[in-house]
Amino acid sequence: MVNKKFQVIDEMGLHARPASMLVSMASKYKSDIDIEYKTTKVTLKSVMLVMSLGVGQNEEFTLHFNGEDEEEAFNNISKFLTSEKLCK
Amino acid sequence: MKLTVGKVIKDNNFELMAGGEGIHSEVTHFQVSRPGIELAGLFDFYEFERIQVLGSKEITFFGWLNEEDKETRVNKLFAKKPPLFVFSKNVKIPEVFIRKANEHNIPVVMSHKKTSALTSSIYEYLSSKLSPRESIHGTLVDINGIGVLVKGKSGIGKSEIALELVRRGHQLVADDRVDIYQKEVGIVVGEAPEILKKYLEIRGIGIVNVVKLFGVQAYKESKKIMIVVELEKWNNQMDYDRLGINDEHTKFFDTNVSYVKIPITEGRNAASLVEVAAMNARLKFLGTNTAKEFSDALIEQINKKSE
Repeated sequence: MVNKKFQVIDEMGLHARPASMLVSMASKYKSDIDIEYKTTKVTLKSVMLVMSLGVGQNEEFTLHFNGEDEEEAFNNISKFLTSEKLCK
Repeated sequence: MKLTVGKVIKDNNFELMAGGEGIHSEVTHFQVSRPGIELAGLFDFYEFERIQVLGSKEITFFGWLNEEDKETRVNKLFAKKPPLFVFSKNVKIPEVFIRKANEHNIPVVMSHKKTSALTSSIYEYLSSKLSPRESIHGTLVDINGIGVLVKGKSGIGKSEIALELVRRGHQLVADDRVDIYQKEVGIVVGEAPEILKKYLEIRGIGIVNVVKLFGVQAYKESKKIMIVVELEKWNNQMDYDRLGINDEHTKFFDTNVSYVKIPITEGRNAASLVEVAAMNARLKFLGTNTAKEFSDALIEQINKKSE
């Protein structure tokens, strides 16, 4: 189990395009990957659920990785979020 | 494939008046010519390789000429060997044309259309017959007026999808092999090769005659391709469009056509997916981009919260 907290820096928040890219990435891994925002926790593999959160700029969310390829998923998704200047 | 004058006459229901010996010559140009200025005596720009169309305008003017001019000018028109002379409805064909037609073995025919309708219908007919054609592997169906070309590897179930769509009241245009041509830039039309028309091949059942089984409403001769749907086996490592924000296109000749790729697994009803893809494309043509609408609403909601 790997958990990591991120803060959104993109001024548009976690809007449709990055959300869909994030979901596409997450869908490739066998591990369960969840996103937790405030009191809500949903799977990162459903684009509708991720977008329904409506995470805005400067807000925080936590990703939970759990499964056989959790390390790889964690590394790649973290890299994606920071390199695209979406989160820190 | 050679397009003969005889076929042009037959397909357009022209009435052969003279010069029947010349029906085996070839038509090579899809434009038509109206030789009014030539009848006035100027032959420098005579477009003799085209089909010549004469209407009441040309023939009324022709009536004003003296007999000698009539004879020499019509002779000049025929001497260059154009493929065909077409007279429009309500025109009385001057005797000299009939005589010269038999002399030069160039057909003179009568149409049942008025000049403007005639020239545009000949143009449309010739451009569909003479434009370059390509054969592609796929199945073309008309879904509520939207021409959908379903592509994908052999065995993915294109024919079965076509069958299901026909059962739902849509129309089959071509199965397995579609012949396409560009009618004009922006319009690519597909149809079935002559021998395959109306037939579907379903593995395990064999060849099915769609018209006899489902009635005439199940079949259409040709259709403009408005969207291409590519089917492929679900692959975990592939990125599939989750939102539909990006408009993808594929190119036929000089025309861009919308393109979507849909992954198929057992349990996903492929016919329904193709149907929805077509209707969603139609919605986009009508100006509603659902993905964009959703994305804008989301951005607005995020902004509202941060204020």
